[in-house]
Formats: sequence, C-alpha cells, structure tokens
Amino acid sequence: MAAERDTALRLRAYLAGGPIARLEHRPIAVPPAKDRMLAAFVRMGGESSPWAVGWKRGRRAIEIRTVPEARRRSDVAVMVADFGDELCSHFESAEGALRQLWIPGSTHAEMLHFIALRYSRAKKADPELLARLNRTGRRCGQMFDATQNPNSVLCIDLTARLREMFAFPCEPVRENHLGHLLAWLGPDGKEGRAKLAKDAEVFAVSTSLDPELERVLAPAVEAWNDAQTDAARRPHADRIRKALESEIRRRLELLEAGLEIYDDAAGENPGAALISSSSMQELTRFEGSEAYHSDGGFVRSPETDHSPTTAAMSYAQKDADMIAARAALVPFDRACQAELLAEGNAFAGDVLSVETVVIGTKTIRKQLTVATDGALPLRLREQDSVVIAGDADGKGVWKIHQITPDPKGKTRTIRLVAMQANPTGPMPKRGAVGVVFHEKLDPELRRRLARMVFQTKELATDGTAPGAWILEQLAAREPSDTAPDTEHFDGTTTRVVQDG
Amino acid sequence: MAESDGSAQDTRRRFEQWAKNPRCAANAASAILNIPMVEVARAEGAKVPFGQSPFALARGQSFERAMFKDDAAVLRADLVAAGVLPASARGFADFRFKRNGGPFAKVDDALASTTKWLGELASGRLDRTLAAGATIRIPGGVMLPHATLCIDATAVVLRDGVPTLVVGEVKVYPDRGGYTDETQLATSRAQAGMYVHGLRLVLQEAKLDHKVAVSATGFLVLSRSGSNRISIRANEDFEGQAERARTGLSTLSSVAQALKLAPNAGLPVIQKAEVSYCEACVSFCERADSCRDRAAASGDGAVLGDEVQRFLGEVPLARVRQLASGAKPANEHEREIVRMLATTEGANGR
Repeated sequence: MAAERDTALRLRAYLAGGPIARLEHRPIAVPPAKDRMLAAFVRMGGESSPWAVGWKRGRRAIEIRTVPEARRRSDVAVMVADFGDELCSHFESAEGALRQLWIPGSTHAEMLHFIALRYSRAKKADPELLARLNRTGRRCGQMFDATQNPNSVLCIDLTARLREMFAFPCEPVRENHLGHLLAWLGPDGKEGRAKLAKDAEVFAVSTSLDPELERVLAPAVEAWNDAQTDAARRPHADRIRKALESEIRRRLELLEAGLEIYDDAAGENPGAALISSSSMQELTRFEGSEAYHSDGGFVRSPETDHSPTTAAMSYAQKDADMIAARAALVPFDRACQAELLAEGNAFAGDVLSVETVVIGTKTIRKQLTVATDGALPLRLREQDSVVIAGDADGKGVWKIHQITPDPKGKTRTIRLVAMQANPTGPMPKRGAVGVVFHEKLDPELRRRLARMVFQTKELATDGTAPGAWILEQLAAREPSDTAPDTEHFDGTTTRVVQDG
Repeated sequence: MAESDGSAQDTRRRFEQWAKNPRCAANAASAILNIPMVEVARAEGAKVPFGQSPFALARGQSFERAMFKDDAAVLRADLVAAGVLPASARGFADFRFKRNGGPFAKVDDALASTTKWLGELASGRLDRTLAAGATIRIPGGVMLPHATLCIDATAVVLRDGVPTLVVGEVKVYPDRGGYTDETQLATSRAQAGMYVHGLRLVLQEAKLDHKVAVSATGFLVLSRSGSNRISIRANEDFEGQAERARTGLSTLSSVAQALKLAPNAGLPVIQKAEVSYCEACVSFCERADSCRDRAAASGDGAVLGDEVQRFLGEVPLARVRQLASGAKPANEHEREIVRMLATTEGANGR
C-alpha cells in the first residue's frame, strides 16, 4: 500500500507536469547559513580515498584541496586532515547552535564512511598528523552515521532529502542525480523541465568523474609520476588541480543552489525541533567521547560491532531513533499521516458515538465507536494502542477494544476505549468525519530494550532474568577485547594490531 | 573481476545483460548474437559514453596482480585466515592470460590446462589447491556462439574425502561491512553463481562429477577502504544464484531457438527487434534514452518506473489523464486507478 501511494504520487506528478510535494512540511530544521558547512568530494576511478575535496563554511568562500596523484597516500592524508580540521572546528565551535554538514548525495556519504574506515584507528604517522587524522576519521564516522539516522540532522544528504520531500515524474533510478532533481524543481524554460532534467544528467555529481575527463587527465597523472623534479611536476599538477577544482566547484555550487530550493520549499514541521534537539544531544555525547579518545581511550571500530550484544543494542537504538523521528513529525503533517494510513498503521473514520462506560465495577472511561472503510489495509489489532492524529504529546491514548468487519467487507466498525479517566489529547465529537487514529509511536520501549541488551552480561551472571540461559549463551560468544586488523594510513603492511 | 579474454568475459556479461531485461527482444537478440548494444546505439547515431575509467581498470589489474603474486601468497594467507583453506593447503594453478600476468596467450590453451587440472583433482592429486583464472566452456551450446567462463579464483578443499571446488569472485570495491553496496554485492554473487553452475556442467560432461564436487558456498574478495589490502567474505551462499544461472541459461537457450537468429545476423536484426523499456535499462543499455523517448511517446507507464508500469499494465498514461479529469472508468482496473489517484487528491505541482 505504501508502494501504491508512491505510484499514485508519481502519477500525480506526471499529471501535474512536474514534482509534487510528498510532505506538507519540511521535516528537518535548516539553520542559518553561518551554521552550515557544505562539502563535496571527487575520487579517482577504482580508489576509495578522495582525489579532491571542497567545502564552504557559512558565507565564506569555497575552499578546495586537491592532490595530483590520489594513489599517493601520504599526500591524500594531508589533504584529508585539512578538511577534517575544518569539519571538526565547524562542530566544535557551535556554542549551542545547531550546525550541519550538507553533502550532494549518497556517494559523498560513502566517502565520509571511507575516511572513517581509513583513518579513525590509524596508528602510524607523524604524531601531530596522526592525531588530526584520527579525529577526522571519527568525525566523518559520526557524519556518516547521521546520514543513516532519521533522528539526526547533523549531516544532510540533499538528494535523499529532496526525494523524501517531493515525488518526481520520472523513474526512481533517476532520482539519485542531484542535477536531475534540481532541473525538475527549477523554472520551466523554453524546452521544458523534462528536457532540462535529462540534459542535467550528463554532468556527474557523484564522487566519480566522467571517464572521458579521466581519460584526459590520465596522461597528466602519468607524467607527474614520471617527472623527477618539483619543477617538472608543476605543470602537470596544475593541470590536474584546475580540472579537479572545476569539478568540485560545480558540485558545491549545485549543492548550494539545491539547499536554497529545499529551504524555500515548505515551512518547517514543528516536530523537527525535537529531532534537532536529539541531534544536539548526540553532538554533546560525541564531544564527551572525543575527550576520552584524546586521552588514549578505546576507539569504536567503524568496521564492526565486535560483539552480538553491541550489535543488538545498536539495532534496538536505531529502531528507537526511527520511531522517535516519526513520532516527532507525524502529528503535524497530514502527508505523514497518509503514509501511515497507506501502510495500515492508521485508520480514518467517522465517529458514530461517544459514550462513557463502566469497566468492571467502578472504572469509568470514554468509549468511541468509529466506522472506517473496510477495503483499506489495517495492521492494527484489538488491544493495540492508538492516538488521534495531531496529538503532539501523544498523551491521549486509546486502546482498540473491538474490530467488527461488515460481512460485505465495505465498512469496519472499531470500538476504542480511553486509557485515562480524563484523556488529555483531542476529544472528537459524535458525528466527526474522517478522524485519523494512528499507532502510538513510542521509542522509549526500544530504548529500554537497548539498555537491557547492554546489561546482558550482568543479567546472565545474575541468572534470575527471564531467558537467562539465552543471555548466558550470548555472553559466552562475546569475543575477547581485542581490536580488529588496524590500518596504517601510509599503506604499511602491518597486518593485525592487538591494542586491547 | 578482470577476466582474461574478451569473448570469455562477454559470455557472462551477455547473460547478465539479457537477465536485466528479458522482456526486450532487442536485448535478447543482442545477448544471443554477441553484438554489444553500444554498437547498435552508435549505428543509430546516439552519443554514448566512451568506456570505463582508465584508473579503475588499472587499479583492478594491479589489485589482482598483487593478490596472485608469488603463487598467490597474499590471497592464500587471507583464505587460510578466513577458514576457506586449511593451513596445510599448497600449490597454485595459474590459468590467467598473459595480459593479466598469467602464462596463456590463447583461450584454448587455458581451457586445456584447466581441464587437465580438474582431471588431476579427480585422480586425487591435490598439489594445486588454489587457482586463478580457471577457464571452462559450458557444454551443450546453450548460448550462441559459445559460452566460455573465466573464474577469478578457485580454492580446493577436501570435504568427506572428496576434492571440492570453492568458487571465489574478486572485486576491487571496498568492503564496508553491512554498508557495502547491495547492488554490487548482488552482481558479484550472481557472477559467482554462474561459475558454480558452469563448473557443475563441465564436471558432469567430463563424467568427473562423482569425483570432484562444487561447493554451494564460496567467497568474495573485496578491497579495504583506502588500501591495497584484501578483505575476504567467506561462506557466501551461491546456490540460489547457481540455480538462477541454470534456469536463466535454459530460458535464454529457448529464446535463442524461438528467435531463430542466424549466428551471423548483424545489427539490423537487433535494430528491427521490438524493444521494451524498463527502469533497469538506464543502468546497462546504451539505447536506453531512445527507448525511453519511444516509451514516453506511446504513453508507456514505464517512464515513471517499474512500479507504475506494473500497476498500469496496458493502460496508457493518456488514459490516466482522462480518468483523472473525470472520464468514466471502463473496467475494474480503471476504477482501481481512479480510486488510487483519489488517495492523493490535493497534491499539487510546483
């Protein structure tokens, strides 16, 4: 049904001749320009390190770093450290303001992950450079995690956010190109947006370069490698630098233009403030762990969870984050509510009656009887808890008491009982039409689960917890506290480093 | 990853090309006749991107050469560490082509040498337990004009006393654990599954299948981020992909017979064949743009993606516009379209 909604929106976009909004409100806060940093990377074909990186902090000018040879790891390391210094400073000087990193698309997020994998646990280099690289690696890891977490707005993948915000009249596979999406969102022009969008696809926005450009640059790279002196290398380095700078600049300018469009597209969802707040908390936690790392503390591997319990805890935590983000946005956005309806995690109906009932001997509760469309999907079951759409606090909780389908399947009557004696949320009146009830989105249970999983070892030792035998088995599978293979940024061949 | 001979590599690539859009007759004809679609697109005057990144190609070759250097010392050590090979395993069989650092200049020589190696294994000689570029030809002429496969890496282990081939696929992209690109992983597994199926066919035809087995699990060799070190993903299950290759090759064979294509039929056959545009075409076919234009002109819902196309079926987009403007639905399917559009009423364009 959710896929059907996407199909319907895509058809609507086609009929409208351009993109249509999927959401009523922008689901994230966009801070003022001074608190934003934009970044873009390009890489040499087949490599996972950057060949060039560019950034723009606030209203300052674009800064670009390039290396002539992306396979020369020591040069790349210095370039990455320069970028890292700027990135870390951007967040460390926030002073309580929400700060963000914006990137053009998913391949740039991948590059953040590559940097995290490569440098966050690097061990061998000049100590000053090593400290900068480690810090950069950890910060990039945090940024990458943020792109995967709907409850974080520290790092924004603009292409993904535009896809979330708009339905485009094209194939989903084409929606991975920022230029394509921005052409659709831009002015119509003489040729029409479809043509402009198609033309925009010619210019690469990902971290990869057009193979034709690489073919042009290949002789310069080869000549740079063959040259024996700095003077002989210079013209080749200049040629490479100019080409890469132009590629980075184009990506950053596109990103900046896209950000403006996104910012202007719709008003901010009031619930976005909650997501911003949890992002700020995440930032504070990160700064705390940074202090620990700089004192030589253990650094979490970006490559593995190490143990089943940590993996399970992370899973529960991520689930909680997903629910939290939804809980923040749904009350204020009818399109989000429509998504829940399409999934069957909500129902809309007409209120047939509002009664006061006595449960047992003296428990007095409000009871609603609602008639809904029997043809629509419904995943909710009797005893599930729901809230009325728009109940931002989620305090007016109703329990589904009974679901009675009409024998012909056309309608469904649902009886709901208030969980509290005096429900604090919205109270529909008899005869109210199209009232939406949706699942109660509460991340707290998942958070509690994450904490419980974290305490697995203690629970297993105690032996009294339910299912203690499973916990014992899990604890027995915990590996010893050794680090996995650790990479040195300079490409040396040390295979495994046990650092306890 | 890097395979040794153009035609050998083409076999797998052609199969994968066909599998991406089996509904397109032109695509089937291109795969069967071994005429790349890029040639057809160029003949039709389309501007097509020119080749792959030279750096990526060089990186792939250097990655593979380093891995197989010194009798595959690096790969062997990591396969032992990953539990694919026992520590006692020895010997390296190199069937690669000269351009990739191997000893062979011709496909037939690599084929003969691989066949001899399989014979050695069947007779219980396990002195070469790791092979690079093992070259096999799928018997039975299931695909025109021939079906030759080069397997990146093959390990040999003893299971229940039977020498068992464990297929490995080498890719240069970085292993990012659970974040590794799903599409790239799926493609690698599909390739490895084709090799598992191919080896089984070859052993069966040589009547060696009761003496040498092919493991349903294998391994992927990926790189590590920002370095030349390798990362082994052991115990990859290729059985499903082997089955996909088996049924896919059989279907392609039937398609080849049904199309009655002469092996020497040229470009015009492909140009005249019917096309069926789908979303996957964007990722692999150089004619995708022209086919999309045709689909758009005929009002095919495929221009809005596979999901829309599946939902609309034969109903053209022009009819959807009429229905949205209030035309009376002619049947249950059209009523469903109207009902679905109604769920998003009020959504406005920019």
